[in-house]
Amino acid sequence: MTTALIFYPTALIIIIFSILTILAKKIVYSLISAIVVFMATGLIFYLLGAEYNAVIQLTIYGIAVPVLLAMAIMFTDVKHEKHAIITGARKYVIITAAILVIMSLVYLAAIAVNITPNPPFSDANTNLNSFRIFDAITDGFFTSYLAAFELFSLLLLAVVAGVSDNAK
Amino acid sequence: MLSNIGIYHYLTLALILFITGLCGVVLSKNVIKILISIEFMLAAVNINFTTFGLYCKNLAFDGYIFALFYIAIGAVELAIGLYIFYAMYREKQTSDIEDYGDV
Repeated sequence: MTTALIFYPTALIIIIFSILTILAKKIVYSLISAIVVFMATGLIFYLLGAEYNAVIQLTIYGIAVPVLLAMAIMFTDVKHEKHAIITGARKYVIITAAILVIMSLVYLAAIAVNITPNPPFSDANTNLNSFRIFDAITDGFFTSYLAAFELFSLLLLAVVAGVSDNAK
Repeated sequence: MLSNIGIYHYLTLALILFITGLCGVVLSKNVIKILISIEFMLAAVNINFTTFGLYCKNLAFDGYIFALFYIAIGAVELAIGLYIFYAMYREKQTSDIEDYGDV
Protein backbone atom coordinates (compact mmCIF):
# COMPACT_ATOMS: atom_id res chain seq x y z
CA MET A 1 0.00 0.00 0.00
CA THR A 2 2.88 2.36 0.77
CA THR A 3 4.29 1.61 -2.67
CA ALA A 4 0.95 2.55 -4.23
CA LEU A 5 0.86 5.81 -2.29
CA ILE A 6 4.29 6.71 -3.63
CA PHE A 7 3.84 5.28 -7.13
CA TYR A 8 0.69 7.12 -8.23
CA PRO A 9 1.82 10.68 -7.36
CA THR A 10 5.24 9.96 -8.86
CA ALA A 11 3.66 8.61 -12.05
CA LEU A 12 1.44 11.66 -12.24
CA ILE A 13 4.44 13.97 -11.81
CA ILE A 14 6.34 12.11 -14.54
CA ILE A 15 3.43 12.31 -16.99
CA ILE A 16 2.58 15.97 -16.32
CA PHE A 17 6.15 17.26 -16.37
CA SER A 18 7.13 15.25 -19.44
CA ILE A 19 4.22 16.84 -21.32
CA LEU A 20 5.21 20.26 -19.93
CA THR A 21 8.75 19.69 -21.21
CA ILE A 22 7.46 19.34 -24.73
CA LEU A 23 4.91 22.14 -24.56
CA ALA A 24 7.08 24.78 -22.84
CA LYS A 25 7.93 27.72 -25.06
CA LYS A 26 11.15 28.62 -23.25
CA ILE A 27 13.85 26.00 -23.44
CA VAL A 28 14.96 26.67 -19.84
CA TYR A 29 11.49 25.73 -18.59
CA SER A 30 11.72 22.56 -20.64
CA LEU A 31 15.01 21.75 -18.96
CA ILE A 32 13.61 22.36 -15.46
CA SER A 33 10.61 20.11 -16.20
CA ALA A 34 12.95 17.46 -17.59
CA ILE A 35 14.98 17.53 -14.36
CA VAL A 36 11.79 16.82 -12.40
CA VAL A 37 11.01 13.89 -14.71
CA PHE A 38 14.52 12.44 -14.32
CA MET A 39 14.38 12.77 -10.53
CA ALA A 40 10.95 11.13 -10.37
CA THR A 41 12.22 8.31 -12.60
CA GLY A 42 14.94 7.74 -10.01
CA LEU A 43 12.21 7.33 -7.40
CA ILE A 44 10.49 4.77 -9.64
CA PHE A 45 13.77 2.82 -9.77
CA TYR A 46 13.87 2.93 -6.00
CA LEU A 47 10.33 1.56 -5.83
CA LEU A 48 11.42 -1.23 -8.15
CA GLY A 49 14.07 -2.22 -5.62
CA ALA A 50 16.96 -0.93 -7.72
CA GLU A 51 18.61 1.48 -5.32
CA TYR A 52 21.88 1.47 -7.24
CA ASN A 53 20.10 2.37 -10.48
CA ALA A 54 18.21 5.11 -8.63
CA VAL A 55 21.44 6.65 -7.37
CA ILE A 56 23.03 6.47 -10.82
CA GLN A 57 19.89 7.98 -12.37
CA LEU A 58 19.90 10.87 -9.89
CA THR A 59 23.60 11.61 -10.27
CA ILE A 60 23.81 11.32 -14.05
CA TYR A 61 20.37 12.45 -15.23
CA GLY A 62 19.50 14.59 -12.24
CA ILE A 63 22.78 16.51 -12.06
CA ALA A 64 25.31 15.85 -14.83
CA VAL A 65 23.02 15.85 -17.86
CA PRO A 66 21.11 19.03 -16.84
CA VAL A 67 24.43 20.83 -16.30
CA LEU A 68 25.53 19.76 -19.78
CA LEU A 69 22.25 20.88 -21.30
CA ALA A 70 22.27 24.17 -19.37
CA MET A 71 25.76 24.90 -20.64
CA ALA A 72 24.63 24.14 -24.19
CA ILE A 73 21.72 26.55 -23.77
CA MET A 74 24.01 29.25 -22.38
CA PHE A 75 26.64 28.85 -25.10
CA THR A 76 24.19 28.84 -27.95
CA ASP A 77 21.85 31.61 -26.80
CA VAL A 78 18.77 29.47 -27.45
CA LYS A 79 15.78 31.08 -25.77
CA HIS A 80 12.55 30.48 -27.60
CA GLU A 81 11.30 27.80 -29.90
CA LYS A 82 9.51 28.63 -33.10
CA HIS A 83 5.95 27.41 -33.34
CA ALA A 84 5.93 23.92 -34.84
CA ILE A 85 3.51 23.36 -37.68
CA ILE A 86 2.00 19.87 -37.56
CA THR A 87 1.47 18.61 -41.08
CA GLY A 88 1.67 15.39 -43.09
CA ALA A 89 3.05 12.29 -41.37
CA ARG A 90 3.62 14.23 -38.13
CA LYS A 91 -0.11 14.67 -37.74
CA TYR A 92 -0.74 10.90 -37.87
CA VAL A 93 2.06 10.22 -35.40
CA ILE A 94 0.57 12.73 -32.97
CA ILE A 95 -2.97 11.33 -33.34
CA THR A 96 -1.75 7.75 -32.80
CA ALA A 97 0.36 8.83 -29.83
CA ALA A 98 -2.53 10.74 -28.27
CA ILE A 99 -4.85 7.71 -28.62
CA LEU A 100 -2.19 5.44 -27.08
CA VAL A 101 -1.58 7.82 -24.16
CA ILE A 102 -5.30 8.15 -23.45
CA MET A 103 -5.78 4.36 -23.59
CA SER A 104 -2.76 3.87 -21.30
CA LEU A 105 -4.09 6.41 -18.82
CA VAL A 106 -7.51 4.74 -18.81
CA TYR A 107 -5.86 1.35 -18.28
CA LEU A 108 -3.68 2.74 -15.48
CA ALA A 109 -6.74 4.24 -13.81
CA ALA A 110 -8.66 0.98 -14.23
CA ILE A 111 -5.98 -1.16 -12.63
CA ALA A 112 -5.47 1.47 -9.93
CA VAL A 113 -9.03 1.12 -8.66
CA ASN A 114 -9.19 -2.65 -9.22
CA ILE A 115 -11.74 -2.56 -12.04
CA THR A 116 -9.75 -5.07 -14.11
CA PRO A 117 -9.17 -8.59 -12.77
CA ASN A 118 -5.83 -9.23 -11.12
CA PRO A 119 -3.28 -9.55 -13.90
CA PRO A 120 -0.50 -12.11 -13.75
CA PHE A 121 2.86 -10.95 -12.34
CA SER A 122 1.06 -8.80 -9.80
CA ASP A 123 3.63 -9.63 -7.15
CA ALA A 124 7.38 -9.39 -7.44
CA ASN A 125 9.01 -12.80 -7.67
CA THR A 126 12.25 -11.84 -6.08
CA ASN A 127 12.79 -10.79 -2.53
CA LEU A 128 15.26 -7.95 -2.85
CA ASN A 129 17.71 -6.37 -0.55
CA SER A 130 20.43 -3.88 -1.35
CA PHE A 131 23.32 -6.18 -0.52
CA ARG A 132 22.12 -8.80 -3.00
CA ILE A 133 21.72 -6.15 -5.67
CA PHE A 134 25.22 -4.72 -5.23
CA ASP A 135 26.61 -8.22 -5.18
CA ALA A 136 24.71 -9.21 -8.31
CA ILE A 137 25.63 -6.04 -10.20
CA THR A 138 29.32 -6.25 -9.46
CA ASP A 139 29.25 -9.96 -10.21
CA GLY A 140 27.47 -9.26 -13.51
CA PHE A 141 29.88 -6.51 -14.54
CA PHE A 142 33.00 -8.53 -13.89
CA THR A 143 31.88 -12.00 -15.01
CA SER A 144 28.90 -12.32 -17.37
CA TYR A 145 29.16 -8.89 -18.99
CA LEU A 146 32.89 -8.31 -18.78
CA ALA A 147 33.29 -7.93 -22.56
CA ALA A 148 30.43 -5.42 -22.73
CA PHE A 149 31.89 -3.54 -19.77
CA GLU A 150 35.31 -3.30 -21.42
CA LEU A 151 33.79 -2.30 -24.76
CA PHE A 152 31.83 0.39 -23.04
CA SER A 153 34.97 1.67 -21.33
CA LEU A 154 36.60 1.94 -24.76
CA LEU A 155 33.55 3.81 -26.07
CA LEU A 156 33.75 6.30 -23.20
CA LEU A 157 37.48 6.74 -23.80
CA ALA A 158 36.86 7.36 -27.50
CA VAL A 159 34.19 9.95 -26.71
CA VAL A 160 36.41 11.78 -24.22
CA ALA A 161 39.38 11.72 -26.61
CA GLY A 162 37.25 12.79 -29.58
CA VAL A 163 35.53 15.65 -27.82
CA SER A 164 38.69 16.97 -26.18
CA ASP A 165 40.58 16.77 -29.48
CA ASN A 166 37.85 18.65 -31.35
CA ALA A 167 37.45 21.23 -28.60
CA LYS A 168 40.93 22.63 -29.24
CA MET B 1 -9.32 1.69 -2.81
CA LEU B 2 -5.96 1.67 -4.57
CA SER B 3 -4.64 -1.67 -5.79
CA ASN B 4 -1.18 -3.03 -5.14
CA ILE B 5 1.45 -2.05 -7.66
CA GLY B 6 2.29 -4.74 -10.21
CA ILE B 7 4.26 -5.12 -13.39
CA TYR B 8 1.56 -3.54 -15.57
CA HIS B 9 1.62 -0.29 -13.62
CA TYR B 10 5.29 0.20 -14.35
CA LEU B 11 4.98 -0.90 -17.96
CA THR B 12 2.07 1.47 -18.57
CA LEU B 13 3.99 4.35 -17.06
CA ALA B 14 6.99 3.50 -19.23
CA LEU B 15 4.75 3.36 -22.30
CA ILE B 16 3.32 6.81 -21.59
CA LEU B 17 6.79 8.24 -21.01
CA PHE B 18 8.08 6.64 -24.23
CA ILE B 19 5.17 8.02 -26.27
CA THR B 20 5.69 11.48 -24.77
CA GLY B 21 9.35 11.32 -25.74
CA LEU B 22 8.42 10.17 -29.24
CA CYS B 23 5.99 13.08 -29.59
CA GLY B 24 8.74 15.43 -28.42
CA VAL B 25 11.11 14.13 -31.09
CA VAL B 26 8.48 14.45 -33.80
CA LEU B 27 7.03 17.80 -32.72
CA SER B 28 9.96 19.85 -31.48
CA LYS B 29 12.06 22.01 -33.73
CA ASN B 30 14.66 22.81 -31.11
CA VAL B 31 17.61 20.40 -31.10
CA ILE B 32 18.05 20.55 -27.32
CA LYS B 33 14.40 19.71 -26.76
CA ILE B 34 14.73 16.78 -29.16
CA LEU B 35 17.74 15.50 -27.18
CA ILE B 36 15.75 15.80 -23.94
CA SER B 37 12.89 13.85 -25.55
CA ILE B 38 15.30 11.10 -26.59
CA GLU B 39 16.44 10.93 -22.96
CA PHE B 40 12.79 10.45 -21.94
CA MET B 41 12.58 7.49 -24.29
CA LEU B 42 15.78 6.07 -22.80
CA ALA B 43 14.37 6.51 -19.29
CA ALA B 44 11.20 4.66 -20.33
CA VAL B 45 13.26 1.76 -21.68
CA ASN B 46 15.25 1.75 -18.43
CA ILE B 47 12.05 1.46 -16.42
CA ASN B 48 11.08 -1.52 -18.59
CA PHE B 49 14.47 -3.19 -18.09
CA THR B 50 14.32 -2.72 -14.34
CA THR B 51 10.70 -3.89 -14.15
CA PHE B 52 11.41 -7.09 -16.04
CA GLY B 53 14.54 -7.54 -13.95
CA LEU B 54 12.37 -7.46 -10.83
CA TYR B 55 9.35 -9.44 -11.95
CA CYS B 56 10.80 -12.11 -14.24
CA LYS B 57 12.68 -14.78 -12.38
CA ASN B 58 14.70 -16.04 -15.33
CA LEU B 59 16.21 -12.58 -15.87
CA ALA B 60 17.39 -12.28 -12.26
CA PHE B 61 19.43 -9.06 -12.05
CA ASP B 62 20.30 -8.81 -15.73
CA GLY B 63 17.64 -6.15 -16.23
CA TYR B 64 19.31 -3.95 -13.63
CA ILE B 65 22.70 -4.34 -15.28
CA PHE B 66 21.29 -3.58 -18.75
CA ALA B 67 19.64 -0.49 -17.31
CA LEU B 68 22.99 0.70 -15.95
CA PHE B 69 24.65 0.19 -19.34
CA TYR B 70 21.78 2.03 -20.95
CA ILE B 71 22.06 5.00 -18.57
CA ALA B 72 25.74 5.32 -19.45
CA ILE B 73 25.05 4.94 -23.18
CA GLY B 74 22.38 7.65 -22.87
CA ALA B 75 24.90 10.02 -21.30
CA VAL B 76 27.43 9.31 -24.07
CA GLU B 77 24.76 9.81 -26.73
CA LEU B 78 23.81 13.13 -25.19
CA ALA B 79 27.42 14.30 -25.07
CA ILE B 80 27.98 13.42 -28.73
CA GLY B 81 24.61 14.88 -29.72
CA LEU B 82 25.38 18.16 -27.98
CA TYR B 83 28.80 18.31 -29.59
CA ILE B 84 27.30 17.80 -33.06
CA PHE B 85 24.67 20.42 -32.25
CA TYR B 86 27.31 22.91 -31.15
CA ALA B 87 29.35 22.29 -34.29
CA MET B 88 26.28 22.85 -36.46
CA TYR B 89 25.25 25.89 -34.41
CA ARG B 90 28.61 27.51 -35.13
CA GLU B 91 27.90 26.95 -38.80
CA LYS B 92 24.26 28.12 -38.89
CA GLN B 93 23.73 30.26 -35.74
CA THR B 94 20.32 28.68 -35.15
CA SER B 95 18.92 25.81 -33.10
CA ASP B 96 16.06 25.07 -35.49
CA ILE B 97 16.38 21.50 -36.76
CA GLU B 98 14.90 22.39 -40.13
CA ASP B 99 17.76 24.77 -40.89
CA TYR B 100 20.23 21.91 -40.58
CA GLY B 101 18.88 20.05 -43.61
CA ASP B 102 21.77 20.93 -45.86
CA VAL B 103 24.56 20.28 -43.34
